[in-house]
Amino acid sequence: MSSIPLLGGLTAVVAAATLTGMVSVDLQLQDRRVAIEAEGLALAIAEAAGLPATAAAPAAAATPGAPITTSLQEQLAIWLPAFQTPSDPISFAAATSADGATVEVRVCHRAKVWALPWLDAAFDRSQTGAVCALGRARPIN
Amino acid sequence: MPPQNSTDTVLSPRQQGATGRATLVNDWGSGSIEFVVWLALVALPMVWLVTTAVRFETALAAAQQIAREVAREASLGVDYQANIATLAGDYGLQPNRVATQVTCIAAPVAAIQSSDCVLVRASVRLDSTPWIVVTIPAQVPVVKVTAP
Repeated sequence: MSSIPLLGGLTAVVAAATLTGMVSVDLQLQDRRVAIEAEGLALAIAEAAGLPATAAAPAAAATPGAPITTSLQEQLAIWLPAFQTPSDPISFAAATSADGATVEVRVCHRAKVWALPWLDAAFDRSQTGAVCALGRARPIN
Repeated sequence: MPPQNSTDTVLSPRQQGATGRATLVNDWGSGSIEFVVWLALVALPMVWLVTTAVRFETALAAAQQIAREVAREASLGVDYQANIATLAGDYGLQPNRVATQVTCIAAPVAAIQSSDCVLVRASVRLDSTPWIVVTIPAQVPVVKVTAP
C-alpha cells in the first residue's frame, strides 16, 4: 500500500493550518496598527481642538445629511495627512464627539484581499472590505 | 501460515527455491522510501518555511510594539535610545537587530501655535522586515513631577 496519499493529506493539512495561522496573525497585526493610528489621530485632534469650546454637538462625518462639528472636521482634515502612508492610505476617517468632551476618531483601511475565505466567520471583512478602529482621547485642561 | 496482513506476500514454492522455506516479503520498503523522500522534499522544506514565516510575523509584532514604545518615549521627551536595548531584550532580541528612526513633524498648518515637534514619528525595523511606523502627538506636560 502506498503511503503517498497519507503523506499528501498530512502535507495539505499542515499547509492549510500554517496558512490560516499566518493570515490570522497578519490580520491581528493590521487591526493593532489601525488601532494605534486611530489613537494617535484622536490624541492629536484632542490636543489641538480645544474641545470644550468647539465641539458642542455630536458629528458623523462622511455620512450625507448628518450633522457635522465643523471644528472637529477641520482638525481632522489638518491632521489626517500626517498619518497617511502611501502604501496603505486611510480610506475613511471621521471625528466625532458624543459628549462634547471626548474626541472619537474612526479610521478605516482597505482590507487585504487575500484573506482566506474560511476565516470569514471570524474576520468578516468580505462584506465591509475595510479594517476599522475607533480611538478616543480627551484633552486635559 | 496465512499472511499476517495485506502487505505480506507468501512466495510460491518455485520462488522459495531449493530450501523449501517460506519467506515473507512486504512492501514496507517502498513505504519507507516514500517517507524519506517526503521528508526530504516536502516536510523539511515546509518546516523551514513555517519557521521562517513564524519568525517573520513574530518580528513584525515585536517591531510594532517596540515602535509604539519608542514613539511614546520620544513624545514624552525621554531618551529613547538609551532604552532600546532594554526594549529589545524584552522581546528576546539582540539590540543590534533593531533599527530605529524618530522624526519630528511640525504642525501641518501655521495656524496651530506650537513647537516644531508637534508629532513624533517612530520607525522601527527588525532585520529585513519592513519599517513599522507609529505616529503620535508630542505630549504636552500637564503635570510637573518633582523629586521629594
